[in-house]
Amino acid sequence: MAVNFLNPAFILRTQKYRETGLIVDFFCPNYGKVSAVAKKALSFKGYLSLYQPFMPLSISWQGQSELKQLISIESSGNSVHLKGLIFYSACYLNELLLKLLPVAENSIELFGQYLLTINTLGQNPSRSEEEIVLRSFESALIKHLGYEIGFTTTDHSECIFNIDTNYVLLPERGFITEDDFLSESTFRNRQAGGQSLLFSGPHLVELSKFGLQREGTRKTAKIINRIMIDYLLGDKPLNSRKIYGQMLGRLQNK
Amino acid sequence: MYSPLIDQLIQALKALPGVGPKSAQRMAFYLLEHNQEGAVGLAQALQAAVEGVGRCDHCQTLTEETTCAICQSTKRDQSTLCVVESPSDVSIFEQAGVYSGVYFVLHGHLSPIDGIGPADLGLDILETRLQQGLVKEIVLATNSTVQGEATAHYISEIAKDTGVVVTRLAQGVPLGGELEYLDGGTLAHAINSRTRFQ
Ligand SMILES: [Zn+2]
Repeated sequence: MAVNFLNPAFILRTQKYRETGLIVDFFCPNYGKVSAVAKKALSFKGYLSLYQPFMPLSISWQGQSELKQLISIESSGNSVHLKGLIFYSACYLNELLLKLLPVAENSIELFGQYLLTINTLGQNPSRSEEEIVLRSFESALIKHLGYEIGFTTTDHSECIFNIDTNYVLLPERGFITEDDFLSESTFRNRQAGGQSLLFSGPHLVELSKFGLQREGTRKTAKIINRIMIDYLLGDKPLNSRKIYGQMLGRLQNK
Repeated sequence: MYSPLIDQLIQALKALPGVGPKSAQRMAFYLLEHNQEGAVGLAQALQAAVEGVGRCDHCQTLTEETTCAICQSTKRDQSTLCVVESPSDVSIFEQAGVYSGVYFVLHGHLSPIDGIGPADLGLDILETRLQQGLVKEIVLATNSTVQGEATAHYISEIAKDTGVVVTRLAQGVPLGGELEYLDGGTLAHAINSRTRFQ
């Protein structure tokens, strides 16, 4: 049977499989999400230290079905040390990947972004640095899934956001002006997403001008990404977001 | 394939960890053919345990008492509290006979991806207990995994304002262990938490 040798990987999640095994979801640059059974993972003492998230790994597997057989796993670097609330942010990234990443799809660019993101998180970033890498990762993931949200153009022309106009974000289409939205919208459209989809021109202009460098623009980007991610998740719950909320106020960053 | 009652028994035995269809079948026939008395005992013990066993109101370990024997014992040091992930961790300490304090059993660890937060582990109960002032030292004995560490970190944060001393089980080279077989992470722990040689 064909063996797929020595792929770089990070663990997104492990689940128990029978008494001594694990089912592991990996993130691999060339294959996106890879799920594999490690039948004896728990029967060798000390091996469990390999089956941890946030540690660069090299894995080999075999099998044609979606659930592969893991045949080797070794660490290929030091695990990233995530302290306090930052651990929960990093788990959030893993859960996004777990729930949204397609299988068997080249994800080299996104993998690079992931590496950059967790390495930054591992270096005790300031709150703003943390937000910048989280928002950038969300955007990269949204783009990877085929949704590009033009920050500089509406969906039908090259026109730059106008400071005097309000815009509506429709996950399937991107931004349209509030006027267009009202004139064409049916009741069903207005219900889409259920969130406040209205963005003010000045906020979007600021975001396209300054990227994530300002507190205000990061807030706008957070709302945009959240609308997109909720749309992409559909009715799948995002557990880590809920737990993060519970941790806020209990744990300090750093 | 078999009569309904035998089939039902085989299905039921598959609930045991590590027991697949083949072993379940073997067990069923063994009990029915060779050990009916044992089978009745097993059935009664299972029934009684499932109905009777709950969680200790002090430490959350499994017990049929309201408060478990360890928590009730006057011989145990009630001011030292060891936090573990599972009741089987308690047995490991007890079998080794190396610890005379009391325990707190989490039945898991913080796992954001699975939606397991502090309240799911009873950490709010632990926090109340720390605030009551009887506990002087809390020993963090959660597993040395990413999630076990995150759980230990969280407990150390809630203990901060209570004045309770927080300690963590030493981690590093196992007794009889050769350096050659240690992974980098363990070695890093061992060197960072080295102690004065006496
Ligand atoms: Zn107890």
